[in-house]
Amino acid sequence: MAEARRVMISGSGQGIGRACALAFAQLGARVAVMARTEQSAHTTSAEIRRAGGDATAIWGDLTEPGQPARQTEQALAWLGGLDVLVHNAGWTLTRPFLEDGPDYWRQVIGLNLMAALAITHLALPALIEAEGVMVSVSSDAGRAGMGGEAVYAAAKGGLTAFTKSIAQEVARHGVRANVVSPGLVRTRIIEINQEDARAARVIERIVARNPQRRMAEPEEVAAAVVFLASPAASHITGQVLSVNGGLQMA
Amino acid sequence: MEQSQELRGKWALVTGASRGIGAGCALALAARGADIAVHYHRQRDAAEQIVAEVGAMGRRAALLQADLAQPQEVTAMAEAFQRVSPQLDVLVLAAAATAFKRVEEIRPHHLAKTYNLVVGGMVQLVQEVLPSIGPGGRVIAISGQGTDFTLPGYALLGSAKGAMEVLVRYLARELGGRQITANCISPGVVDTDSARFYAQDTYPEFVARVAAATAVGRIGTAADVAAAVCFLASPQAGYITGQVLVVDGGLGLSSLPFMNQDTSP
Repeated sequence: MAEARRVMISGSGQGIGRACALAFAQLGARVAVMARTEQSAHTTSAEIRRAGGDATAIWGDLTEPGQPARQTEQALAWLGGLDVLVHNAGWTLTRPFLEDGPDYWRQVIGLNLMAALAITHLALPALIEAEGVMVSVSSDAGRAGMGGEAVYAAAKGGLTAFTKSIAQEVARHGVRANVVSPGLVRTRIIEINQEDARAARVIERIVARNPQRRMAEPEEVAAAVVFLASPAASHITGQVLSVNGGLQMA
Repeated sequence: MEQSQELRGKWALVTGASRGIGAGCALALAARGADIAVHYHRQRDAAEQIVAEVGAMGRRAALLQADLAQPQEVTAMAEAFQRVSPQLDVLVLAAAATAFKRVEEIRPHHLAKTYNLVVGGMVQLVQEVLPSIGPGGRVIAISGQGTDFTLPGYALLGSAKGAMEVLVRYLARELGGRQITANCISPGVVDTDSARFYAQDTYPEFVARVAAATAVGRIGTAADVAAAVCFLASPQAGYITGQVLVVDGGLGLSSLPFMNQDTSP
C-alpha cells in the first residue's frame, strides 16, 4: 500500500479541491494543483509552499479538447509517478432543465464526467505501477437526483458508476477506487448560486431539511478523501461515502 | 506512521469488545488516545486482556459485563459506566450473537436471543447513555454484508443488522440537530472467532474462497474495520451521518457466477 506521496487533484484552485490539496500537503505529499484559471492554481500551490510543502500549478479549462491530456502529462512529469488521483473538478448551475440546452449539457458533462475519463485514461498506468488510489468527488445529486441540477446529477451519477467500475477492473493490481459524495458544501459555487434569488431559496430549503441543519465545510469533505486515500482504508474499494449531514441516507 | 492522538480525552464504550471486531475497535480507538469502556458478556479473560492492553497504551480502561439482551443488565451497565465517566463520546455497537439457521428452522428462542441483543440491546443502550453524549458525539454500529446480500444461514442476524442500519438512520435524523452522528460500518468477511464459528471445519477453504471473491484478494481483518470506525469517530467526520460505510475489500462488487472471471486489463 502506497503512502500518499505524489498527489494530483483536478479542480483544486478553490473549495473542496483546495481543501484536499492543503490536507494532502500537510501530510507531506507533493501536490499537482490543477485549476481552471492560472490565478487560482497559483493561489493554492503558493499556499502549500508557504506552509513548507511542495506543489506545482497546472491550469486550463478541462472541457477544451486536449486539455485533460496536457494537464495530466504535465502533472505526471512533475510528480514522477502517481500515488493518489483525485477527480474533483466540477461545476453546475441550479436552474430548471428546460432552461438550458446542448451547449450547457456538453459543458457540465464535459467537466464533471468526460474530464475524469480522460484524466484516468492517461493516469491509470502510473497509478497501477504505484499501487495507488483514485478518489472521485461526486455528489449526492448523482446518488438521489436533484431538481434544478438534472444534468449535473447525470454526470455525477456517471462518475460514481465509472469509479466503481474502475475499482473492479484494477483491484488485482492493488489499486483502490472510491467515491466521496458530498451534499451541500460551503464553496464559491454555492455563493454564486445564492446570488440568484430562486436558487438561494432552493439552497435554503435544502439546509433546513438537513438533519444537522448546516452545510459542510470543504475541510470536512477533504477529510473523507484523505481517509479513503490512506492505508487506513486499505480494505475499502468500490464504495460511495456520503458526507452530507444526513441529507440522503441508504 | 505516527498515530494521531485526536481522540485524547474522549471516552469510547465498545460493546462486544472482548474479541474480534469489537476488540480491534477498542485497541484502535485507544491507540488514537481514547479511554475505553470494554463491554463483554462471557469472555472475561479475553476482556481483561483488552483492558490490560489499553492500560499499557497509557489510556484509562473500564471493564463492563452485561448480557445486552437483558434490560436490567443494560441498565446496570449504563449506571456502571456513568460511575466511571459522566461523559461518553463514542458508542461502538459490535456485540452480536445468533444461531445460523434457514428461515424455516428459526424457533422463537432464536429470534428472541438475536433480536433482543442486536436490536433491543442497541435501542436500550443508546437510550441509557444518550444523556452522557454531547455535541460531537458518535454512534457507530457494526452491521454486515448479510443485510444487502443473502448469505447461507444468515437470515436471523442479517435481518437484525438490517434493523440496526434503519435505526442508525433514524438516530442520525433525530440527533442531527445536536451534532451527534450515527453511522454503520458494514464489513465483508472478517477473520474473527465468529467467522470461524460460521464456517466450522471448512474455515481454511472458506477463507480461500472469500479471498478469491474479494477484489483486493484477501479476507478482512478487525484492524481494517477498526480503522474505518476510528475515522468516523474523528472530529473531521462530523458531517458524515446516517451512512453505511462498506469495508469489504470489494467482496460485494462481484456476483458469484462471475467471481472467477478476471476483469482486470
